[in-house]
Amino acid sequence: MKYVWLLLVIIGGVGIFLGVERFQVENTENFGGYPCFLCASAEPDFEVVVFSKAACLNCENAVRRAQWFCRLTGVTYGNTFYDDAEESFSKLDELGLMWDSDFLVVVLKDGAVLDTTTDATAVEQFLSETMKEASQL
Amino acid sequence: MTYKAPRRILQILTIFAVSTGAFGVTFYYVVVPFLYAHYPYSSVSDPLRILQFYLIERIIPWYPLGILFVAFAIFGRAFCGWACPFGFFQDIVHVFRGIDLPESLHNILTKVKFLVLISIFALSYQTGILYFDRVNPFATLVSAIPRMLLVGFTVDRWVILRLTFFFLLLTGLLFVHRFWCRYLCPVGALASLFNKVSPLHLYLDPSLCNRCKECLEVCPTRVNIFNVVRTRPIECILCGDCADVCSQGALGLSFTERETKEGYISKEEAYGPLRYPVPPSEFVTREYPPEREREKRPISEVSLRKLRGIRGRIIYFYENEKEIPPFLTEMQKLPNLQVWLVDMRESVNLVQHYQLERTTVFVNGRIYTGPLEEDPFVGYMVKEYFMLRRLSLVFDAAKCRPCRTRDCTTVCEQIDITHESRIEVHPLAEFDCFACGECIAACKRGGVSLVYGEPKIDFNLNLAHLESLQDKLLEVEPMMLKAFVERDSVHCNKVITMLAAISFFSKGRINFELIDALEEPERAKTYDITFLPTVVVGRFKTLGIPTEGSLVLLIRRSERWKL
Repeated sequence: MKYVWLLLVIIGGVGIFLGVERFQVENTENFGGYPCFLCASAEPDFEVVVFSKAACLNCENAVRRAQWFCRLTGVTYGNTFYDDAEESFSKLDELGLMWDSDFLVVVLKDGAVLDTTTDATAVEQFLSETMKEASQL
Repeated sequence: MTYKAPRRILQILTIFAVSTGAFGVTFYYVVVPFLYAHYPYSSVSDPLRILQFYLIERIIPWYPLGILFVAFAIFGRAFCGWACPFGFFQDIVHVFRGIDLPESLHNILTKVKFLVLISIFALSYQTGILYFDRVNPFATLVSAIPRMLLVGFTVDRWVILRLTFFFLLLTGLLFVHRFWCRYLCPVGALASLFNKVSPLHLYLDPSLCNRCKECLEVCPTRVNIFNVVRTRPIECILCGDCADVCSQGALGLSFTERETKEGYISKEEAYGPLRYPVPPSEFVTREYPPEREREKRPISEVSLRKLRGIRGRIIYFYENEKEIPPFLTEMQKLPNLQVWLVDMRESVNLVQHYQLERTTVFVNGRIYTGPLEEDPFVGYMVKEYFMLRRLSLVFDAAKCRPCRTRDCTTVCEQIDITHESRIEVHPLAEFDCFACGECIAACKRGGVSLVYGEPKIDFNLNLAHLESLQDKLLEVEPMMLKAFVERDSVHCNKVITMLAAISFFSKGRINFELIDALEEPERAKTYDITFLPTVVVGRFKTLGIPTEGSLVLLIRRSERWKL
């Protein structure tokens, strides 16, 4: 029993190593920064809509992260619209937006556009910051 | 130095460290090992929330769990006492002191936090919703209430539930110190699992403790501090409040094991009056039969050749060789005693040095000129001698008859079995036996027993098991067990036989002193003996009739916690 703690420390160290290998440091950092609507007893009355080019690896990753964000924070995920679909352009018209990049994320509040970004690498930070600011979290 | 001041400083520093989000500095990759929640100024990650996120995404949380494992494995629940901001809040709001829950309720409620921990993860895994965030009291304190006051809020059932829970909890915190930590905190529950093995622990030095029980009064989680000698309580948050009030300096926090001087704290000493007190003698209906051998014998008649486990140094200055008691001459033969017989006429220098005028004996550093019978050391030896004379070696002829190897007679030439009766009783006084236990261990049929009083031998000793444990017995330091027994008891006879066998298998490392509890009630009371037989092993003692394995385990445990 005397050195069980050492064994646990080693197990913990192995856990950290495996986590680092699986990019969990970045994931944890992103997760930790997510706004906590439930903590503040606030309603997450936002909607996220994503426009993405088809066959774009970066965009796919960003779409997955945006979906994670919405699922974990309770925000409504509108849909993912690809550039090869007719409905994407009708949705853009509906929102009154222009799209001239690979990727576009739109944050809606009560149906109105709150903010947009075309940066696929920092989609979670954008969503976190935008919603925290809008909800005063 | 007390622990309170550095603890407060560390708690306040932690609050600053986890709120640097106010300056735009965040460390969200750090998962803190205490209750936390996301709020506008937060700078680190809430462990429960992060673990739930991973669980919802069906990913094994290697990294956050690894951090928690390392932190808890080293520090146990110390984060609850020294770092947790909500713990600090609880310390501050505990206003009405001296009020607490009944012990039975407290004991039940301490398990609730484990239920909370499991429920949180089960719910989030099943539903994908972090329900705990809706009622997390720290979130209510730092996120929900400030937002409600500054921005406003919509009244819904969750808000009502959250506020009701928080204010009920606050009421509890006013009266019961660390109510949340004791009964409900899920992070504390997780950390408490590591409390038993973490190197940082609370220690108690029984030799310094005066049993004032001040420590019990101040403990925020109501830990029975006296238990830390034997086990590490999972409820202890290692705050050090008990050490701060201990005027004797008997308590403290340490990363290393500390050796204590006193081996045994009786239950009475530790907890006050016994629950089942030893009844006064006038209420004892079962009278012990008068002992024929109890009348005092002149010390010169006592032969001490058979004594076991006696250590000491005796210097006997005599004027006339004829006045040397025979037992002192005999004691010279004992390997563990140093007995020097000094002729006063020949050793003038020593006589002058000690200013001796008459026959004098030095027993373990004490000068003794009166009758030797009054000396406790000699008295003990005499008592031991009389006890040995009352023991008998018993042979069960039913087991002996089919035996062809006669191992008992092989190992000891003094044994002579006549097979005249089914049970053969050989009092130790009849032959030169000092209960070494070799014949008991040699008889694989279990036909040899050592009995005290009537030859009740309706028991079977698992000698094969004892033999398999011999390696373990040979690892321990020499020690003396105290066996409290009574006459004519089959259970006591079993324990005496077992002890003799253990003593033999340990090659004499484990020795034992037999104490008749009914003849020596004072000693029985000192050791809080309420059941016979009871074997006292260092600071531990057996409960009920010990088995071979349990006794060896106790010996090894006592060795680990040795003086």
